[in-house]
Amino acid sequence: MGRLATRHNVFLAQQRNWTANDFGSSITPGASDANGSWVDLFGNTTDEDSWGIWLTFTSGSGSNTDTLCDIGVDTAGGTSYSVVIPNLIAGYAAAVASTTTLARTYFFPIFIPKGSTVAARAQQGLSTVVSFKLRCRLLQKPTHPELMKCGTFVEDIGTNSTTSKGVSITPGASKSWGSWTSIGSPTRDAFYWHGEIGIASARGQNYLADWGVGDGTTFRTLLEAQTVGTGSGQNSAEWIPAAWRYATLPAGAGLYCRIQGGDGTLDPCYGAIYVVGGFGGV
Amino acid sequence: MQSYGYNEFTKYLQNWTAAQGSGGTSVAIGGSNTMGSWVDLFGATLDEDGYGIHIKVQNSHTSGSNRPILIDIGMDTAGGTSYTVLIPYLGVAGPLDGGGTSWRSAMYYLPVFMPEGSRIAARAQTSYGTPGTTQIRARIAMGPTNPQFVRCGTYVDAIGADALNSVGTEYTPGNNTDGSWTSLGTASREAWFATMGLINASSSATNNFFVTDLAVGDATAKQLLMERLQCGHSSQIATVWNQYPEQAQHCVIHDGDELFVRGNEPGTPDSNYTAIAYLVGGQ
Repeated sequence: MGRLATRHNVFLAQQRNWTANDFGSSITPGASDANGSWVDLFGNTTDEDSWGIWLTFTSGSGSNTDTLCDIGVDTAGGTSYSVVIPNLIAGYAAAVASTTTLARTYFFPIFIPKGSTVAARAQQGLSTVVSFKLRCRLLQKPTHPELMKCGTFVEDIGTNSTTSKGVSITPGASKSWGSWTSIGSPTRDAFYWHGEIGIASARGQNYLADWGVGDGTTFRTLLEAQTVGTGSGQNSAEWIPAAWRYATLPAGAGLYCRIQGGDGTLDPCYGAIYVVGGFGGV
Repeated sequence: MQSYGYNEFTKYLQNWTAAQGSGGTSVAIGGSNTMGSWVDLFGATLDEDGYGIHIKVQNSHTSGSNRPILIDIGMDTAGGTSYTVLIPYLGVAGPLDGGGTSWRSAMYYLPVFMPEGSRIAARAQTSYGTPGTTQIRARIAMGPTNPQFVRCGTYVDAIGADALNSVGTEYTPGNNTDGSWTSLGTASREAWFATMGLINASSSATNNFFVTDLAVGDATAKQLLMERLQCGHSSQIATVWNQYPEQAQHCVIHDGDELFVRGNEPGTPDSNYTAIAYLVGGQ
């Protein structure tokens, strides 16, 4: 065992867009796979430099809601947002205060400077859209920023803006593994990843997902047997601690996923990977 | 200026392999608030050092019944079955089938060190008259590329656990407002990571969710450690599940620091909300 850290970072402040009994900002997607309008998540600029962002999606309905969501930032504090986190799979999330499934949760260690405005917009495959809620929490005032690895961009891999989905992945039936499916490759070096699975019209099945880096034949495992639970048209994946998502992913690395389904009827699955790179907080 | 480096875990050990079915390890629960027998979680010793464990408890729910459970995670560094408690009194309340179709179960993440060759086990207790079994899924992170970026502890203290009743310390959420702060007790050792468990020891629930804050401080000044931890509970099922465990975070806690909780419910609160704070320390 190498020498472990003897210090740690503490975030002394957080900024959130929700109170005790709401689920954050209401986002109305654009219909038929077109982006809707930006929604300012906080109603004002960020109080401090932010070193990480938590995002939690809950939906108003578990029906067919192929949805992708962009997170935008205007570092000048206005409304000219630049996309910093593109095309997050946001659909089929648990309904608000669901008694069935977890909401979709993402964390990205990216730097957002003080005085920025943070917004979200979304697209949905439906012609009559279903709104959703988005909770956002910014981590601020680190005691030891020299212990933080923070990026400047998030790249989406495998998303399809013409369908509001990810890459189609065929699950293996009856607890067998499906084939490794290429999700794509980052175009820039990255150090952090998040894989997300969307399952259309999920009916209470259980799935496992393996995530790997490789060439189509040989793989380095990023995460094995991630549980994906479903119920009532909703699905969400096993929560993984953020500290377990750091990985060296050079530009061009082949990112793959395979899915194992349970014994019942399986539903269409799709996946995407989001990677963080760059050098923020300097 | 931020760090140029970071750590990657290259290997994980988990105690399930199939997409459906039980998944995880079944543990017989001791009745009358007495811990049952230890059950080996992985069926083997660790083949590498472990640097953190994620626990998910499920499949121990009885509709309409008050079924609080406390779980110890134990470790024998010699690889035998003489377990010492590493993580005490993880609290759950009637968790449902989280391995199947839902996530109505409690989840915990604790950055503790488990040396190669150790055997990891769990045991449980309840006040419920028909103890039954619970199912524990566990995943351990291994193979760090840069351990100098990994902070890992050697002990966990449970502040506010009531082992005589298999619950935590009771607090009362406010009705659409923050309730009063309730003391869980004081830390007996230095700690640098905190998380929280909630047990709604009741046979029924009215609303779908509530939120709870965890803080350190004194009667007049407090620093929030976890803010608005959301837990679900249901009128149909008496269970509580941590919906957003990501709020567990690093902190600085000194020997003698006092821990507090307060809750907020979107409606008239039910009864018997209890909480336990888990503090990780050591090196």
